[in-house]
Amino acid sequence: MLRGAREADDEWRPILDVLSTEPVYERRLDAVLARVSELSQLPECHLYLTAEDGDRFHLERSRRSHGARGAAPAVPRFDQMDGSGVDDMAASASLDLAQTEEDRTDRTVSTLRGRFFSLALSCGDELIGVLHVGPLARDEVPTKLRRHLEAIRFPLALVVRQARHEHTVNDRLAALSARVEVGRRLQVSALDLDRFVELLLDLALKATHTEAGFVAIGEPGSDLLAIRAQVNLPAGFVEQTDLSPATGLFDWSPAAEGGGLVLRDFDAATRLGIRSLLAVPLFEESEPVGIFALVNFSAGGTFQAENLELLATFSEQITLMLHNGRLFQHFAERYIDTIKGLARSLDVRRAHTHGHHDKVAHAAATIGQELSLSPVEFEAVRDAALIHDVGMAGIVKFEGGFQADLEHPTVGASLVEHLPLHPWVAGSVATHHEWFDGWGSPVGLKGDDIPLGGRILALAVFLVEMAAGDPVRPAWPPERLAEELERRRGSQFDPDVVAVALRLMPQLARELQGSTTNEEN
Amino acid sequence: MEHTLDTHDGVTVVALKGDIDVSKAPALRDLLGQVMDGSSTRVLLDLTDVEFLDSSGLGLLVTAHRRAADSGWAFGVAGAGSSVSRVFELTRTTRLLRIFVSRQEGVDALRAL
Repeated sequence: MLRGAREADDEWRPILDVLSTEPVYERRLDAVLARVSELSQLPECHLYLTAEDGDRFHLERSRRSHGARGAAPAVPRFDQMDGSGVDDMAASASLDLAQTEEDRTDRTVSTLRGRFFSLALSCGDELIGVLHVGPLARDEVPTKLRRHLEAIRFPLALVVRQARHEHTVNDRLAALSARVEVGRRLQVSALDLDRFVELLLDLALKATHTEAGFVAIGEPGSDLLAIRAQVNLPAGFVEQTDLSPATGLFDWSPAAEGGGLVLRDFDAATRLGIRSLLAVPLFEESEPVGIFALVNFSAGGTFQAENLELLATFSEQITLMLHNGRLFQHFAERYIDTIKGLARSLDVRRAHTHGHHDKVAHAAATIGQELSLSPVEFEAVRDAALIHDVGMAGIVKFEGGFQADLEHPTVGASLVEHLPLHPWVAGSVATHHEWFDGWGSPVGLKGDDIPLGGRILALAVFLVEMAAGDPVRPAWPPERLAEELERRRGSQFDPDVVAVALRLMPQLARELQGSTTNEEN
Repeated sequence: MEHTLDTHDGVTVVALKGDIDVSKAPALRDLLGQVMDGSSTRVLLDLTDVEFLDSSGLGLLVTAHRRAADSGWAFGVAGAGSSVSRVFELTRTTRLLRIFVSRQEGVDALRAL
């Protein structure tokens, strides 16, 4: 190794190693500042990072050394101080600085604590922040200091940017995990809601000595009601019962006047064999959302006062379940959108992965359409494609370069598996690195044990990655893509999915190559 | 449908007896229609002796109330026991009907309209 290169390696290595040796964000910055202190031999260094609005710097981390016997602990930010008083305030640097064009070049700055050398930290055109080192004994920056700091400028900027990015992503992941926990507490899957309502209904029938009953629930934004749970109704009752507000068994118009609903069609009720019927409307705030109905088909079935109290309780519980179910559905929709946003943010980490998730979704959708997936399966595969690598957000370790976390499919699937989604969403994310012949990861599933969505996603991911290329491998042309699919038919990929992809190759290649070219331009 | 008909101070009082469910609903419908097609413009339904009222009976009461309102008549119900009152509350029909505690209160109120 040339002498200059060796010297650079000696100077860069301690800083670059911080990313691989220290996973905690704050300690990473402390380690970096400790190295700066060691090189500068000056008592203070303060790391300011560009705020989100881009107009200001915010003090991210500080370090103050006391003499030759070693550094004092890092000085915390003002908002991290224990409030012990004026001394703490006097010890702190400014928390915020206005950002100017001058900050893009190295210079000296005047602060309350004296003159400091300001080292600009940039990656390309992006100004990551500035590092203030001082206080300087004189107005001029010592040559040795300038040389030392300029030599480590690039790894400093690189490490600080990467650490901050991972910290942001991990924060988002932590926030998502917290929302997952909230969601679990609210969790009412469609299946669970129906089961719970059925159990409540069964209990209500026993408590009121009623023969049969049903719960009909309306869809949000719709007037239509559908029987979601029923107990002991005779065969054909559900099919024969018209619950539409305009013409059906019940008249909902009183609800508009603040009342509930009443039986309208006595003839239909008689035809259905109903002897007595008590229909309690379910309201969410002032909006009617369903019907809780108790039905007797033989004489003698009435509802005593004490039993009617139970009905009030049951109807309240069902309404609460419906409310939680809707709340959870709304939460789930916003949550999955957040996951998609996180996945897209991961794509911007490297130039060759820009738009990766969207491209995979498009390729998977094209293949899925040709395979005649049902609408819900189609949407499930598409959603899975839009989030398939979100589990990579948790990566903190690498050796000699970035190494994909083998568990990221499982991690990604765990973020969505409890949501009321088609099982292919979590299933496809979990299996998008499995091989058809069982030689994939993380589990080694084989053949039909891999959901079809996962088999489609695996091939779509392969096509997009190979068509895009990366810094060490050029993009593959359509002919090479087709050859490789053929070569991997039956081993890595499902033969049927390969057949469809080969048939669509001209279209797929054109779309993939076209999107890559657009980004390069 | 077992019932009695009286007139008090210009108010026709229809006192029902027994349970009102789907099986009785057509008969009650005919009865109410007959009363409301008559000469009286003030009709009070006495439910003192009604032990149970289901959604079919409620539907008839609400319909009678609407027909009366459309025709400019007065219609009310009175004397509902605990079970019938609770049904009114559960189904929120208390907001739609004129409900009086006793027959006399109902007569007095409708007479004044």
